[in-house]
Amino acid sequence: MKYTNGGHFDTIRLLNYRFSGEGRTIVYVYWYIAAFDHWYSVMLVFMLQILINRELRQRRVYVTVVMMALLLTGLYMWYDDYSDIATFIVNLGLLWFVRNKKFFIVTSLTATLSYILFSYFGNFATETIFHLFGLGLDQWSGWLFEIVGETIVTACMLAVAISFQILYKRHARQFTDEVLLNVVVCALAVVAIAFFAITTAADNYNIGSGFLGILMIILVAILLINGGTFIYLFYSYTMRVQAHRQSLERKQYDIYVNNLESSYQNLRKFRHDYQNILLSLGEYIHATDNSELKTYFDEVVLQSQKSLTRDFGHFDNLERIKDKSLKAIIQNKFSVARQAGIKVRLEASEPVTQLAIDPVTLARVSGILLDNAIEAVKSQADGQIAVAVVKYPKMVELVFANSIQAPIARLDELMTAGHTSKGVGHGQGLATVRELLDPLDNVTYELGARDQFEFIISIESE
Amino acid sequence: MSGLLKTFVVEDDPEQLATLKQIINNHIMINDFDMCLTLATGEAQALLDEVNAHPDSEGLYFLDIDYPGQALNGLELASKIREQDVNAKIVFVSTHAEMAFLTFERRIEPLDFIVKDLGQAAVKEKVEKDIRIAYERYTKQGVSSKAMFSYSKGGQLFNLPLSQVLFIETGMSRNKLVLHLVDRIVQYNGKISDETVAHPELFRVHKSFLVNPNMLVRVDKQAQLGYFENGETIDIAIRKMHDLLALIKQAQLPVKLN
Repeated sequence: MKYTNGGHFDTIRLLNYRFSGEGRTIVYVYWYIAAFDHWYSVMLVFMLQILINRELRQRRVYVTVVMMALLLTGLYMWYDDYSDIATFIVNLGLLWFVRNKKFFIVTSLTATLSYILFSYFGNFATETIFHLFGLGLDQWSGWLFEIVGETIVTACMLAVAISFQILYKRHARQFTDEVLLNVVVCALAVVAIAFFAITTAADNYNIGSGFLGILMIILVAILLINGGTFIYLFYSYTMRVQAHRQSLERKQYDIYVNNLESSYQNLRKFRHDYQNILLSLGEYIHATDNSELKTYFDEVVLQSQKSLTRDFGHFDNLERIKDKSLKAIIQNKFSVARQAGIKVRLEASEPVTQLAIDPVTLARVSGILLDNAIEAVKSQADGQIAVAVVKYPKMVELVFANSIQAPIARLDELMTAGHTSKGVGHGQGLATVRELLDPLDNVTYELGARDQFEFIISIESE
Repeated sequence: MSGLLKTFVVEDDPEQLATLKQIINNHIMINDFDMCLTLATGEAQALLDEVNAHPDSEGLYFLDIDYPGQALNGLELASKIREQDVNAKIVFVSTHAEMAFLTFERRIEPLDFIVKDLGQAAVKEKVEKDIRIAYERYTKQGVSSKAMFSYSKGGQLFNLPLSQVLFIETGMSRNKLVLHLVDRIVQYNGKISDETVAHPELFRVHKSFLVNPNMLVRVDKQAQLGYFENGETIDIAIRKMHDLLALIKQAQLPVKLN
């Protein structure tokens, strides 16, 4: 491509215009040059984005780039005053093709930053270089000016592209954090909008570039303060809503736990009464001489006596657990396990009072852990589930254990979301457990799989 | 440390105490082990006094879990013994109903549980086996290094052999560390910079990884990854790669490089 001699930078072009003052023809010439100039810059930004983002390497993108460039050329030939904004918007138009959110952000960030650097820093640097070498801005040095200018601009943009690649490699975790990414993108969008608004204003009202910088800082500050206030208000509102929902949840959970406990007590009382009734009924029946009734009764009572002695609702040591949430969940899940023919054991050598953890969280976590344990043990011939509450002077530990058939090689993989190891039956909920426990300062956990699978929750008293 | 392994028994039933005494003495004598039955008593406090009187001794302890009428129970006694004797080999001999396997495992890390319900013969067999294991471990640990690693949780110190430790990584939330062991993952509160100082035997290969170089099996220089036997990987910073390789070479660790 033959290099066009164009006044690339708007301010310089205005300067030139003012200095030369040759009338309308020269203005048309400059418009034409500017059009080619922007054509070049648009192409450069596009190419850069395509270079960074593999997703863009497709035919329709290339076609769009060419179409856009042609359109821009036409646009600039008619009207040049808002060319910067138009170029920027067209650049962002490329994002239409980006489906992956991660790349969307990388691409838009590159476009924004490179454009700012390109227009502002490149311009300034070129001017400075020319000033240092004492070169005038006449017709001849215009060529040189353009070449040096474009070189610097290209270098700036490449620097942006490379630094993004490095940033992305180094801080992959931050790039996947949606909230952080949104904040960064918003901030950059604010800066970009401020920049383009001010440069356009400066172009149209002939404001000096020194003043322009100050204006921009002020505008950015105002926008950021506004944005910050909004974000603060939004978050405090969501926090309030969340706290309200949590307290509601807790209240309902308390009601549920109390109901559960009273229904278990009712059941036990009824069982006791029923046994007594059967006994006295037996006395009456044995006093009669209806032998058929006698044998039938003995048969039935023998059966029901058997099932009655197997009390599904009673577990040793459960009375030592005074934390209602924990007690309810153990009672509930142990009954399910016992009915499925699984041996259960509860260890609590000392009474356990209220634990220093939100009851709903504790219930959810222990529910998931016990469900997983039941799921894992169901298929075993002689499976067992055990829960232990271990007391220390400043800490209480809850140990959830179950027998396993085969050792688990990669415990770390169990904890990652989306990793389901159906065979073992522990994958499903552990990511949720981790999500619930990770934010709690006084709670830590362990998991091991030596002879049995165990998950230990350590709750430090606050 | 005296040369021979001391054995202690606390059992409140005199008949069972006599049986245990006989089993232990016979087995030591038959095998000609460098061991002795130092104390066999019905009083938990008597053993504690003995342990307190000889704080640097190492022993094998056969304890019951419940001592009716005494101030100390088996769990308390065992944890007091553990405080004095880190390498104590503790065996609980009790009925199945009294056993709290998980609790004892967690708090005491006993050598074994012996369930009395299984009958005289089974108990005898298990006691003898535990004596052999304890003696074997006792004689071996003098030769091999018994480097320990410890972490604390809620004011409680947990000890484990260094050969179990793979690496420590920074957790998802602030001030949480994740300790990866051979067959265990432990999350605890702490800062990786503090742990780097506290454990000079571990090497900081990355801003979020502190690794036990002895456990690495492979280092991929190109991908900047370190591999462990179970397939877990860690990132290695470019700046630290050189130091790590130098360390591996110097200590002649069996690490594959590519």
